[in-house]
Amino acid sequence: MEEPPEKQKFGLLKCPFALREEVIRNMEFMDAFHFSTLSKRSKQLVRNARYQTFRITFCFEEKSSKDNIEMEIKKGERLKISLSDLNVPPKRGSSSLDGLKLANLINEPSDDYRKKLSAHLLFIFHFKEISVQIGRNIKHVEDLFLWSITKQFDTVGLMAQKKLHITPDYLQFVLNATNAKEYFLDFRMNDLNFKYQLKDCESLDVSGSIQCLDTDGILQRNPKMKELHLEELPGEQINDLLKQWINGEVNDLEVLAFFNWDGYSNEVILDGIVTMKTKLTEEQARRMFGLWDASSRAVDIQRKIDGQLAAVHINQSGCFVSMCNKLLAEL
Amino acid sequence: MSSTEQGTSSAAPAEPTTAPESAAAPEVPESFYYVHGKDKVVHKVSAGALQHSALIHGMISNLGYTEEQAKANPFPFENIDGDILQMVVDWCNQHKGKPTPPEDTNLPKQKEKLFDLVLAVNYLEIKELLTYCCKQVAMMVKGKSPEEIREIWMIPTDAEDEAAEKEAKKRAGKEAAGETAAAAGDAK
Repeated sequence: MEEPPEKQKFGLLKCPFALREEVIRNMEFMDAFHFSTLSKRSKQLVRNARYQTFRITFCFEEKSSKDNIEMEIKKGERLKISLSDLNVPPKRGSSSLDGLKLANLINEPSDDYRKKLSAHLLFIFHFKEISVQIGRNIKHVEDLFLWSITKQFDTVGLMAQKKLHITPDYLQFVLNATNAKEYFLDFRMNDLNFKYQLKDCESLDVSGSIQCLDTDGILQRNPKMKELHLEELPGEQINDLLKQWINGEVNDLEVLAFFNWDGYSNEVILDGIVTMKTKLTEEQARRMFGLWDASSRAVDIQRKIDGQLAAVHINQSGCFVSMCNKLLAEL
Repeated sequence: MSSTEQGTSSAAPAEPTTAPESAAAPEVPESFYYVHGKDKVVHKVSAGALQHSALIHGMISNLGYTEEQAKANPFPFENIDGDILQMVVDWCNQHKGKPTPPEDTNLPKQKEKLFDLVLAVNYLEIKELLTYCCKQVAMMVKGKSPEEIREIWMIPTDAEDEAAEKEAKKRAGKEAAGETAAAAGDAK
């Protein structure tokens, strides 16, 4: 009788550190994850190897049974892990990897498998982009487990097609505890009684409950801000934002877009601001802002500190400002 | 073209030329060097092939050896088995003057030798071959369960790591105590 072939072995830990790390970097993502669960040493080894991954997004869906982690390992290579609260394995993550099973491989105590798995992934892998999307009711403080692991994100989305059921207290906690470059806040809540002072953000998109956003000094608090898209912001606040830009320190702002289907009053928005006849032709304005009709108005404004121009365009769907001199020059 | 045979060679530096490649420029004679591993078998390798190894390339770049000098002073790699060095030399010769593709099918297939090969390639700093070897090692555990990975790569458990660490500390303590005692004896 033939003996089964002996399993090929390789003493990885006998190799020099740099070599071990090179091997790790050449592993498939899930193989590297499995390897990291073998011991404290293997976990640290994967971390030290700086295994590069593209993106991780923690998704809290409308139904908590559909919560998941989405990962883009390399361009186009995606992986989904279920973080469902369901205890019925076949239903949990039928189209994705079962997060509970993966968490059980990690030899560390934790009363919440979602927290254990998320912390492990964020520890061992280097994600270029970390995002979180909340689209559901946050019932318990435990649902905010992610913020006990990290408060630094690239993108944060608070979006609900219907109603975001998060309580004002939890919402305040999430917004105040988070540091992110990019925010998408799209929800309606009528009982908000706090003012959100956004800091160190580069791109902000708010629709719905705009009243919670404190726009006083917002450009000073966010000197790297590039894009602001705000819906239904009162005209007086837009006027204040334009004045912040005119009087403020040099910043990277490129675009301001204020949407309002009722339109804005030119007088309110440009009140107290020195305007100049725009250098844009009608055709250029149409290409830059998308909409132009007889009732549209376009003027240029100028920043005091360096003389940079911005084109302000007010039409029936809102007020749009482009600070991009280069773009203007190319038109 | 890995070989232990003797051939014509020259260590003279190549003459710079501005003539286009298509013109019938006189061929620059190739330089050869000699290396040997643990088994002392000497391999004659061209400088072009050795360019793959950052270590050897660094060693030879300013030597200006003549043929006789090169032959008389083979580079000794006593830490590399002869058959492994042969594999490396073969690979360098096969890929002389051309970049390696991402999936290199010319890599030696002797998987049982992979560990020694990886160490040798790492030591000789042959970047492209190292990347490919590391990929081969990584592929050994592709799709395997954690326990299978533990077995294949011989990864100890935390308890085993802790026991080994204790043992190492104990040994180091004993050695230190022995040295102290010896030093005290010498002082007397």
